Amino acid sequence: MAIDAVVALVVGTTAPHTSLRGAVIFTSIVVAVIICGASLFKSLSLRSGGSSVARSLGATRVDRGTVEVALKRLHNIVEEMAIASGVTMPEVYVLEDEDGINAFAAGNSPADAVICVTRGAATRLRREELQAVVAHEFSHILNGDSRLYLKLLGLTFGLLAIATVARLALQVGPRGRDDRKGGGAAIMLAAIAIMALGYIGVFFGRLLQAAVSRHRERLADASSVQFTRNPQGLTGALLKIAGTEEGSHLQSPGAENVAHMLFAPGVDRLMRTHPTIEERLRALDRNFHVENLPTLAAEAARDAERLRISDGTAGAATRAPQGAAENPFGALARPMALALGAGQLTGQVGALEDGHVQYATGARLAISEVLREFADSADHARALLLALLVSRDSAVRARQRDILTRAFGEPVMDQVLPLGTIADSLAPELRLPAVQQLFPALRRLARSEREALRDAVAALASADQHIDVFECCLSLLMSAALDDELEAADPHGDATLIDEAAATRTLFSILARHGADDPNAAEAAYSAGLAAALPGLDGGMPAPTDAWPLALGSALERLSALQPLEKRRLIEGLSACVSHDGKLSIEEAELLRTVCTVLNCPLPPLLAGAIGA
Amino acid sequence: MIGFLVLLAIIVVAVFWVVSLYNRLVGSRNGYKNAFAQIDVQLKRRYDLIPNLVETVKGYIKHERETLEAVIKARNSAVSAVQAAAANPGDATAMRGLAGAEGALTGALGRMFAVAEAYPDLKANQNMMQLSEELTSTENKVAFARQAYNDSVMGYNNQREMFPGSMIAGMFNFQPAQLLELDEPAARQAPKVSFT
Repeated sequence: MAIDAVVALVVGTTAPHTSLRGAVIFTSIVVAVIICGASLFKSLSLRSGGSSVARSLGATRVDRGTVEVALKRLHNIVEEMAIASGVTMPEVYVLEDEDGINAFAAGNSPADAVICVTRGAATRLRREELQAVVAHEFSHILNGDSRLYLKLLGLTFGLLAIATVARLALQVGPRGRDDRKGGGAAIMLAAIAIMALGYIGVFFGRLLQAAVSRHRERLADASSVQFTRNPQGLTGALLKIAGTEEGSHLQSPGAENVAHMLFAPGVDRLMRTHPTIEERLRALDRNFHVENLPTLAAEAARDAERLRISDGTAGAATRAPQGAAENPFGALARPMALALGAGQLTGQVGALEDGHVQYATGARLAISEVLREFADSADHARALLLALLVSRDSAVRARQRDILTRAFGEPVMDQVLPLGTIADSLAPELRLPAVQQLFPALRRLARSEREALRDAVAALASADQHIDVFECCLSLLMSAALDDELEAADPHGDATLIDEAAATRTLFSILARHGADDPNAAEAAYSAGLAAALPGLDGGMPAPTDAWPLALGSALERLSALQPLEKRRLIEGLSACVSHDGKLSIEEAELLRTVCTVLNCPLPPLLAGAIGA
Repeated sequence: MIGFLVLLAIIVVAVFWVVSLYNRLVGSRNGYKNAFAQIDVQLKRRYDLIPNLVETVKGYIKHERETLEAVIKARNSAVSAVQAAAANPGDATAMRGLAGAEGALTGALGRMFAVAEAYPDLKANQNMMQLSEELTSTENKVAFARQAYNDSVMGYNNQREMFPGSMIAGMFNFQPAQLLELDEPAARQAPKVSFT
């Protein structure tokens, strides 16, 4: 409106014969288009989901299975607040490098919301205080503050665009219009006026934005108390922010974008997005006196310091034995049984007994102490997986180095090579279980990255012109774990063993050859296995072939379409074959584990105790 | 003619209004039912955690077997109580039995944590720290689930009893919902698990 008036004035004085009405309508449309277009543009650019906002600030994701106590506590608290507020569980992120006490929520709807907390908040707040902070963020999610603020931001940006256009006109305009002196001056005046109006609009827009933000913060504080039923937690958190040196300050340059969703102001601004801490404390407790603030805040800061110290010592204590042990996996008793009775294996398929759970906990502890960080991030998991395939032979290693550089480039290369020692320290029988721990993280890779990884694994495995059992099992398990999700097939089909006699023979011959010391023993194991699975089917063992990994892959593909009961018979046969010579070699165990996994009948690790009888 | 159209419009608006009120009542009724299911889930999770906890504590505490046995016994009777309550949720004796068993379990756990306080090694044990964090969190979840249940029951009852919702609720027979309160004083006080 004001801009229309200015234009009308200018047009009226410079060109009296032009139709005033037409000009006003024209400028109105132009102004509206600029404001709407700019608003839309800004809104769209801010529209990305919550997780990308969190990642752009450098936050890392906290998984449900995290081992670190402080992060586990954080995850639990978010779950609790999700129950209390009735919002779906958001993803949890932590800003590792931020020592200040702060948190934010991001995302346009509860469905893609994330909650992100600084490291300082996760370690220096007591449980109830962290709960209050998280509940505050849940209020932002629940009340749709992100969407509201996005709209305001878009509108302000539209006004800013008007002012910018006017300023551009001011810089460019006079040069082209020297011939019409009077008109040029008038247009300049008009541009100045429009620019001034635009900036005044921006100023009031920002003022409004800040006022709305402060209002929503008060609402979020109130909701926090409503969800936790405990004003003490929020009071404690606010006092700690007031008392500690870092306060709620954020170092990340992207903090400005989430300023309105933070728990407490993270960056200094002319217009406050949050009420002052004194105001917030007084809202929580009417009898709060500002003069008490310094003493209370100092006390809270001491508490924060104490919590951080105790966290630090706990961390050091758990880390010490890990550094002292030469081989971190040595402590774990070897789980493989070296003597195996026939026919006892099938009962174990899919059966989880106490022993298995304990073994898994033990294995997970032993593996996780070192591998935890690898299993948490897709990049690290990929690097370790590749490191497991790097050969000790220097000639082969050089060829593999070329393959890696070509596939992923130098940075990934540099990640992979130092991991060789960790890969070597892994006991052979733990290699496959460790790899399987990496799969969840690898599933987070994009499809194209997964395909590149699969190709790289195949290339690395064949770099020494020879594919060993581990390499073969690894690529089979990898395609089962990483492809299935993309093209989900039925776990079982309706074929019978008789239908797939050729594939069955191939499978038994491969297993028998890898478990036996000499051809005669292999023949005996083959017959024993086949007799258990398919009595009545005779015929000699297929001739050995160098291309056995390929043969195994296609045999398993056919056999995975078996009926469930036929699979049971097949696995009975396999266990008879494996245990024929009374020994279970690592290669046999790896093959068996892989076959069962690919057939969708996962087999727990074989235990000494379970097989003793 | 115009009079007829106006009448028709009024009727259409009224029908839409009644339908939306009815839908809101149904929505909040389902909301509180879901909230009740949440409580059950968390209670069971708590029972599942306790054997692990006792297993960890057992390795350190050699001389206080009866404390641990009391926890296991209380846990087992709470499990059967929750099964009885789930079989007939409306039954007052079953609910009272559950509340009593819960109270006994909470007391036994409290004693166990008090004993554990005297063993610094146990307190520093990573497993123990994780388990007690899990237990605290689950107890909180039970409390918050109950709170969410009571909040949604209040919302539903408000809608049901306030005018004009009360008319619709009366017409379609919406029953009042009960708030969930634990009467046992022992059950009200969850043990404060703290290893700091």
